Amino acid sequence: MEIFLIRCLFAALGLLLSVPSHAAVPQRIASLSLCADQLLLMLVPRERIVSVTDWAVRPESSYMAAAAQGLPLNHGLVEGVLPQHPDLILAGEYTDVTMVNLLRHLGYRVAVVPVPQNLDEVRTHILRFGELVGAPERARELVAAMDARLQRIDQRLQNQPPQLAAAYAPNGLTVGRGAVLAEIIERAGWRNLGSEMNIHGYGNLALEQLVMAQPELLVLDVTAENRGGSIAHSYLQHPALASIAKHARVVTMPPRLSECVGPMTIDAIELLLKQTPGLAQQ
Amino acid sequence: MMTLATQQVSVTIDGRAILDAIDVTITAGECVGLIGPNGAGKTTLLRVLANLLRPDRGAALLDGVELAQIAPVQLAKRCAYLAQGAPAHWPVQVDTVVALGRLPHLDWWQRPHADDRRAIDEALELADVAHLRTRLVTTLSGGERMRVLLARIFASQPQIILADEPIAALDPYHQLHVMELLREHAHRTRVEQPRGAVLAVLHDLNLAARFCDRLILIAHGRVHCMGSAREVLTAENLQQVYGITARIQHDGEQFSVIPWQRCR
Amino acid sequence: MSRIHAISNRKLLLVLGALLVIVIFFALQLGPVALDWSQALKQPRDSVYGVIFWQVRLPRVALALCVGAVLGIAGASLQGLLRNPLAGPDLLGVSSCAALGSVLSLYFGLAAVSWVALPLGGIAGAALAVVLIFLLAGRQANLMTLILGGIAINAIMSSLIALALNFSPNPFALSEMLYWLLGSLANRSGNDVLVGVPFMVIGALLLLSCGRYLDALTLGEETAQTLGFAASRVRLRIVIGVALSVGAAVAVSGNIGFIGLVVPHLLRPWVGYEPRRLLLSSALGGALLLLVADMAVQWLSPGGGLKLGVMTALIGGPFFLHLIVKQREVLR
Repeated sequence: MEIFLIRCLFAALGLLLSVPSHAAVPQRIASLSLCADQLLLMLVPRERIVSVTDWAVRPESSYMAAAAQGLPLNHGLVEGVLPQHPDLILAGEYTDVTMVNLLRHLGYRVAVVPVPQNLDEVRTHILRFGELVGAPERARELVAAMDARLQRIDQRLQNQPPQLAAAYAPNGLTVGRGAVLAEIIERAGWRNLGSEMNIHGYGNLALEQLVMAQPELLVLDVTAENRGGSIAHSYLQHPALASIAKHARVVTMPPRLSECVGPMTIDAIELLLKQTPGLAQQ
Repeated sequence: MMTLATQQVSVTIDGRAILDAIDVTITAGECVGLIGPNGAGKTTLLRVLANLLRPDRGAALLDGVELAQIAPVQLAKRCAYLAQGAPAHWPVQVDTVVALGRLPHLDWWQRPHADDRRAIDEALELADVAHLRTRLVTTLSGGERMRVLLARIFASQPQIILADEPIAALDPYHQLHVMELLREHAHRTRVEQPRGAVLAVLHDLNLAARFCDRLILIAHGRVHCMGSAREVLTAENLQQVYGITARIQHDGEQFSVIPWQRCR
Repeated sequence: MSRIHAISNRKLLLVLGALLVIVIFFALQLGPVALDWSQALKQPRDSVYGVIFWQVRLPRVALALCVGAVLGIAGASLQGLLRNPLAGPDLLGVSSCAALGSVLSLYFGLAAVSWVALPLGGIAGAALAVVLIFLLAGRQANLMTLILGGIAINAIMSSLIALALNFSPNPFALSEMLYWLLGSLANRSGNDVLVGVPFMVIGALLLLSCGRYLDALTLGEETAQTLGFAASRVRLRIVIGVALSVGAAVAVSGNIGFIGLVVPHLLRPWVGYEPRRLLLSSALGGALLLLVADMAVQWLSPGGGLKLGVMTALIGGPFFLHLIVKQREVLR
């Protein structure tokens, strides 16, 4: 709980410190972070976006990949951003700090945009983001749409006793309290094994523990399609996992839905909802 | 009659001719001394005879058969090699080292038999190292270690012993002891064993003269002279080959050579 | 300083074997889930306890034994061959080649196509190592060339692995490769046992067959040859034995270090410094040590966070240092 509050505080501080006093609506916005790309593409008309990351155009990792097609890519480099003469540069929490410092040193306005950790934070986050990029109306619309969708989902789940689900990624990684995927699982009407094992964020799950728990749903946190090095399939080939997969449902959670938090998160919840037993499928 | 010989053997290393069409024969019953100045090719010749080195031309023959055609194990049973410097790498016990001499005689699964154990015990006695049998070989003095390695040679019960400077670092007592053992190996007259042969590289001309039946004097990769001590160790030969003058004394049985002065 | 006295071969093997049986018994009981023999064996194989026991725990223990044994015997063989107690199983470059093979199979996503691609990649890498060693050292397999060749191969393979990591298709593939390289036996299945164990067994048998030559080497290379060994052929047998066994071990478990270095060191005084006796004892000792290390890893981090290779390095390094200091007088 404390961690949640501290995160909120830092998120607020971060946004506050990096946004100087109210400025004119930015006309040339560049983004150095995949999650900032997503919101940018959702809120701001194309003419005002001058640069996005390489990831933004990849359908596997970017929810707004189609919308990003044709925009200049910055390859995460300072040289990729500068030729576009941006008047606002959005960076993520994990964007290279030296790059951020260099851009500021060169006189550019850089806003470090943190990733919200759960759906509660995301409302405030989207609204602030809307202010930042000069699209407050659109931001409000987006938040309202998200709220409506979530309400519908909650209604459908009323009186459904949740069954056990487990997230599993290569190397036995699972998610616990505080991680976005955990919230997705729980919002879709399932109990999350990682949370029940008191894991916070990302943690390790031994195969034995997974087998013992006998989850009804296995969420594979696949990080890429076949072409790219994921060994998710080979995990299902382990006889122990295969034995779980025999009577459990298996869902592959694509990174474009789970990496960033926002409307795509609700898509992720709806994806899992299809597996939730006892629901009238819409 | 058992013979070990080289036939027109030439060995060239790094462009230098170490051995040049050399012919040498050793027969059963003789203890032969291989002498010559440094760099003459004595060790190389010994290694060719031990099948450690393939000659570039010519061949080494055991009883007329080329060494290369003989299976290594068969060769090992008949011929034993005492390397220069008496190396011993791990701190193992003396009796373990001597037991290594039985390796050519042991088969895949055979444990050492009673014969093997007897051979080891006899070898230890013969080389006078029985009292050292539980000592670690790395804790021995130079002389003791040389005798232990000699015991290893005896344990393999070879016919031919090829020894490279066996008395190099030994005190006079042990030098005499080792030469006696080698000569005895060649001359032994026990019925159940065929007579052996010894070829030893030596620098000590007196001991060579005293204990060897025959001397082979090598220079520049060729045999300079071959024969008894008196025939080989002449003033002329010593001057030509070693570049020294010496006081040679032979009165009856005794024959001694005292290197006196370097020639210019 | 007290000197350890050698004990008879039979006694030593019996003691090691007995210890091994005891440790195996406890290892099969140890895991994040409470489980014991009676439960596991009474239940059918596809029940929950059955799956845990037969598909998860048993393969893990079996692999710990085989990989440990193979690392032990390979280390002892190379130390005997080079007459140097500082040699380890990765000296010839086999481990890095095998690691590259497996890393590439992760990199190109082959592992996602079939489970067998990952360990087979490693074994293919080991085969490449043999080819490279042959090319460098020739049929004579001269010792100095073997060592230098191994160093060169290690350098090249490490750089290629670094290249693969550098250009990994995405950060998650990168973390997969990195974690695999750290060395682990977690999440291995019976399939890994099927692929890896035959090669490990053949390699180990090849190495065992070279014991007498290693004994003969006590007297130096030249004398050893005159004791009836076709020296270059035995050396090649050792190289191939190491390549097969260590290659398969790395293919299945990643880089696990120090077992091959420490186990022969520990056991050498007990076998009277005889290289041939050291082979089988090191196999048993290696199996024992790796199994104990794996149990420690499971006990310390039940979820599987701590990797086995990290554990062996953390303990092995300082331990090896301690051994060197203690045995300084006996080392040459």
